[in-house]
Amino acid sequence: MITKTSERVEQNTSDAINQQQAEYIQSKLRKYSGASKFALDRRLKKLEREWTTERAIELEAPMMIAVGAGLTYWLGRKWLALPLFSAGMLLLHGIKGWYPLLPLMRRLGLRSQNEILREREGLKALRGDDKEYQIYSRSYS
Amino acid sequence: MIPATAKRVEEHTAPPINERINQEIETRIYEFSGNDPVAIDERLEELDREWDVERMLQTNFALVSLCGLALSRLSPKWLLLTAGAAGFMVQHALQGWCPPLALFRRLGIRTYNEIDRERFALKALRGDFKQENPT
Repeated sequence: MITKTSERVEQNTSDAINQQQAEYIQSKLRKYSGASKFALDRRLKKLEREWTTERAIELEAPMMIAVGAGLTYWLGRKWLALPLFSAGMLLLHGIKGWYPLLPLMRRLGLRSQNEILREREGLKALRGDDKEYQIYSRSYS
Repeated sequence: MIPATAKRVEEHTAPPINERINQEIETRIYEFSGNDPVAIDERLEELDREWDVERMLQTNFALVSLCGLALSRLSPKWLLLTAGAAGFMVQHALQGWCPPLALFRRLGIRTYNEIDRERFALKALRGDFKQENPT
């Protein structure tokens, strides 16, 4: 089964950490409710820069694979297991979401794309960005 | 030097392609604006399943490097394919660009930000944010 893109990291994280991250988002949104547009803009800008689990994996996995390929090339095929394992795990992450380093990354506080987006949506709503779309929705509201 | 996570793909996409993707989002939001909430629910479900650029690149890179490793049985030179692909994946992680990106963007694969722009608009149309933002 192919996991939903919006859930593939959370589904492979312990409930406790997911819960903690959800509470973090809530606390941020509480903190920023009533904040000035300037403060909201600044927080949103900061979220754009935040490294996601995806970006961290995209940096770590190819380095392991490249090192493994190099060792295989120079030291012999007994090293092939390293890049093979790394690439296999990355494929698994692509399809299912699980990844060997994910528990560690999550414990270190790296957030998934989706968690950052949840905070961002909340902040945008606080800024009133949703109003421009609600003009359209007169028909059924 | 190191670009923002949320912007690095758009910054390395040709402007007309970004423009086209944005236009598609606008058109779709407009189409859904008169629509019933059930259709919006269904579309939001679809968006949750949509593969974004990162997921496509990760999976594509994993497959390419596995091919290089398999072909290295024929000649160790094929390990260069694996190593080269890995180099480009690192470049994508740090800077944003990599060769398959041009193709994927042309095929209309969106970033998670672009997907979320549509999601946010649909949620706004459904009225999800009304309580957070009373008028």
